[in-house]
Amino acid sequence: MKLRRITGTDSLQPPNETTGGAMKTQILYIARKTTKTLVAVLTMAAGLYAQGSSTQQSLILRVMELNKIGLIGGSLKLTIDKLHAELFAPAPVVNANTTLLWTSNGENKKITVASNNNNSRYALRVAPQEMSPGAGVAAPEVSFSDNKNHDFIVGVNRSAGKCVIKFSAAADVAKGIGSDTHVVTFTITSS
Amino acid sequence: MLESLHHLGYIHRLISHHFCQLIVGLRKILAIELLTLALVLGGVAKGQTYGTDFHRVTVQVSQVTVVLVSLGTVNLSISGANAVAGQNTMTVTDLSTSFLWGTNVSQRKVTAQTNLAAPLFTLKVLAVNPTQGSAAPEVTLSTTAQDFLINIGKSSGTTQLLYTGVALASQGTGADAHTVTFTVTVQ
Repeated sequence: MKLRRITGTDSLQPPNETTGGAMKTQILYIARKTTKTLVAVLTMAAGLYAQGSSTQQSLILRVMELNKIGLIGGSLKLTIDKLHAELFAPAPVVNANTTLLWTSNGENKKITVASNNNNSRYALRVAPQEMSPGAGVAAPEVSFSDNKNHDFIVGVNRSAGKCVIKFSAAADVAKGIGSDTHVVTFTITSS
Repeated sequence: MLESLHHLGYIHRLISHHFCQLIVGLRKILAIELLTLALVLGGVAKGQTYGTDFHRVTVQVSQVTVVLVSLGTVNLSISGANAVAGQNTMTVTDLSTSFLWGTNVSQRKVTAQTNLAAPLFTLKVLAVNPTQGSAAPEVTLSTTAQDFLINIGKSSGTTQLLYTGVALASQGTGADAHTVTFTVTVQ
């Protein structure tokens, strides 16, 4: 029994006949061979493309509008316990131990201040000082007489900054002794 | 009566003797048959080869380098959670994707670049925990290819992609759309 070698080109062996159909068979053979070669080249090209040495990744970096505000320094106490020698009245006291910080990448923002105590016995005022350059504009000193928001810093545009918060408290003799408690809130908001 | 019993015993021994001989004979016949069959089969098997042929098989390995990223898209977003009051710089990071490679060529490295020529914000990338090679210092992406991973030659491996987006408050809001390209190239 003769074992037949099976290969992928068996069907493309050049024909040996020399009969009348030999020319046609030869043309058919060449066409098949050319097609086979073309397929091989295209397959190789596709393989090389798939084995590229670069790859890509799409990345979108979005920055949303954000506004941050914070305080350094906790609760504070202002105590009026001295007499003004010339005025014969209790001497005002000042506290500048608290720092306000803010960051905003938005435009036309401002920082307001408000107290929750709208019926205080003694005067309490607040003002920014030692402002970061270019981070905003200090508003006039605010005297708390209600619980509404008052401008504290205006003109905040795409900036990060800080300032010292100066609290001043004063008392008339007629007000006697006692205490007020305020919860002071700073807010960054649209102008 | 006694003679009859002796006669029966004789007949019994005679039958037993012949039965044993019959079994031995059958065994011999069976052995011979098996031997003959083996010889015949061996002869047939040996005589089945009528010719031989051969062909040459060549295995050729070309330069192969394959790379891919584990995910095609990454979204980074800087929001309020990424900001600290009083600080101008805001950052966001992403470590959710990986870069994978395989190359059978030595002296290779990986570079990284973006197609975005004028981004609003800064985008950096760093190779974290590469299984092969060494991570280059953190790359601030630009349109120029920069080293991302070095000394990876003839290896396959992975590394995490640590993207860091940086924005300043003074830069405002917006979005950058990058196409980041990682390329295995000659070191």
